[in-house]
Amino acid sequence: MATRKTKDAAPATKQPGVGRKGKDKQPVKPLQEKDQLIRQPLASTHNSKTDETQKPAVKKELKPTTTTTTAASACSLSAVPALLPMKAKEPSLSIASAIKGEALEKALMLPVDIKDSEDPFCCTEYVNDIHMYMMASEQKPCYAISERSIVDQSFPFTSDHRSILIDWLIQVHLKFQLLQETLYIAVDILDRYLDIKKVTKDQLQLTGVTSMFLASKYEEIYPPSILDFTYICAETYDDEQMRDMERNILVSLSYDLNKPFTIQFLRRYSKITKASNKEHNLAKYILELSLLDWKLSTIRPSMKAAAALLLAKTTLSHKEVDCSVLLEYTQFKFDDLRDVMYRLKCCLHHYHRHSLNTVRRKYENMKYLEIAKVEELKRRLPGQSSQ
Amino acid sequence: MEKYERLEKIGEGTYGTVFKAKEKESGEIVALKIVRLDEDDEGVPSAALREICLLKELKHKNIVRLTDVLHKNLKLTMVFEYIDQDLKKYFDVSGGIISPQVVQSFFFQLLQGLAFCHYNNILHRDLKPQNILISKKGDLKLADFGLARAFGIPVRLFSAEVVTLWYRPPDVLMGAQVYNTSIDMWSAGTIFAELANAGRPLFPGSDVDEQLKRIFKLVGTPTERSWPGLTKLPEFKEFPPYPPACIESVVPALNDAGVDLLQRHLICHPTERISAEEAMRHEYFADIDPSLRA
Repeated sequence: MATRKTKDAAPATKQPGVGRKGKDKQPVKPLQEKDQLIRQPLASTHNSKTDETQKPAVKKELKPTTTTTTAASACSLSAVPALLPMKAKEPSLSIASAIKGEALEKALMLPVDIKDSEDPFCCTEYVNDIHMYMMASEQKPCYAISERSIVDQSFPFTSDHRSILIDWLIQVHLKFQLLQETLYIAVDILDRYLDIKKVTKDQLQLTGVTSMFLASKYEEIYPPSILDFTYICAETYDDEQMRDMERNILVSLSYDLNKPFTIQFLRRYSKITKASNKEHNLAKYILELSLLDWKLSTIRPSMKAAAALLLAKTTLSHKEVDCSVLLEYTQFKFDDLRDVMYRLKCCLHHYHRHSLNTVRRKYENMKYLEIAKVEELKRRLPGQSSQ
Repeated sequence: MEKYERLEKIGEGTYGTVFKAKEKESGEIVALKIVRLDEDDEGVPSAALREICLLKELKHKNIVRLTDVLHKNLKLTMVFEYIDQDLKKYFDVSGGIISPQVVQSFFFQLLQGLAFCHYNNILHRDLKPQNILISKKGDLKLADFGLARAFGIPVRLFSAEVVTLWYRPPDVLMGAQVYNTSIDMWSAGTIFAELANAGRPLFPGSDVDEQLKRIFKLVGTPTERSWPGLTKLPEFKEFPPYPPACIESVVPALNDAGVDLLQRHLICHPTERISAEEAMRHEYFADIDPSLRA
């Protein structure tokens, strides 16, 4: 991780807002009127920076995480809806029981963390506290997205319009070579704003691009300038409109931008379950595709991340996948997790072959181990026949 | 009509100007941090954006409270609880004498505020006496989160342009871009020594090189053996092999436990540095006033 190269590693070559326009930049096609998007090949897909390719520092020689990894708690995920429920048992390292104190802390430390306690960047000392905090934080009322508004017929645009917008935002995100975090924050800002405010169809793209603008100011060291964003919209909106929209969004969301997002949870879960590089990348692909599906935006990020990882593991392994470690760590109910897995699987099935294919093309890249090309996704997805 | 009446300018923050003001209706005294948003500008500055978002999360008695945000007419106003003075001013008026009890109380409160930030996956990144507020009652509160940010686990690359020179850890001084909670712990240590010496800064360097030299003259020049990875830091430079000096001699007013605690903060290798939570459990705080605990 320490050697991971991102654009932040060479700040001298990146002048914020300077030299961004010009030679190598074409505006990403703005959303077209009449609800359709004339799509352009994405040249930048192939040189976007590496930010997520490495799997999250899972070390091979690790001993089994807990002794509960038994056949009884393993679940066959080849037929997701028919999963065996977990045997109810006292969790040995539940985050809920994490009480402060030196001895307890050591006892609560997962073997994966003890291994890493020498690596300062894993913050092993705080890792469970932080996970617990994020689990609590994601459930704050201010971060909720209501189911109701999404099915509301009175909406001035449909969920397809939103999918087109998200696909375009992912193109913008690639073009500007932004961090993975920024994308998730941007989509979350957008969805929460759409949940509160009635946005007209012609303001939809402005809302989306301003969400990305805000997210990059929050997360990036060198965010693109406001003019980069107006340019990428082919000057459909000017910077004044963007500043106005920025204020509307911030005031409507009361400046609550610190919501935890799926990718943060996924990294933790990939680590504690010792996920392979492929499994981690497939889970990321699933999560990114799920951004296109508005209905899935209401699921809490931790649950979505856990379900995506289990779905990825099942898809790649063709056999029983043990989910006991994850269930113990997250304290999720098995049935809830299974439901979310099922919904993610439908989403994967739907968007993997969809004409909005930015995400698929992105994950066909070497950088993501060409995970969108794996055989397992070409075949019928597990359980698909039952739909 | 304006909701607040400005009384006097208190200072300049990392961005924006800070005023003492009175809420007209209640008469309550507050601090206003005002950021001008010029036309043809980048909108809300990212420092302000982060500070607001993070302070909304951080409700703790040792962290300054953000009570309101007003956003209109090209002006962003953050409303804070008003605290009489910062630690720097406190030093100025203390006349070079701070009692051991006060040193202990302040440092404990500082660690407690910091531990809360770290639990909530937030790094302060700019700890210094000017950013630490002291109320008349002796309550300490961390302020100015303009450089703070949330971090994920594992921590990824962040900007190396953080923390005022005097309070900057050696790893960041040598260009480390990946750092974690340990960045704040070094700063906390240097402030602890400054408290013990009633306001005399521990390492008042004038540039990066001199800063590192001052540090190594006290704690000894680190080697690849004492700090694996040292020579691979982006701006690593050879320094003369200074032997570690006697820390007691630079903090004569501190008792043995205090010296030991300080020593655990001033460790060059970031992994070996003490955490805020560990520091609060140190024997130096064995007789701490229980009412200070949150």
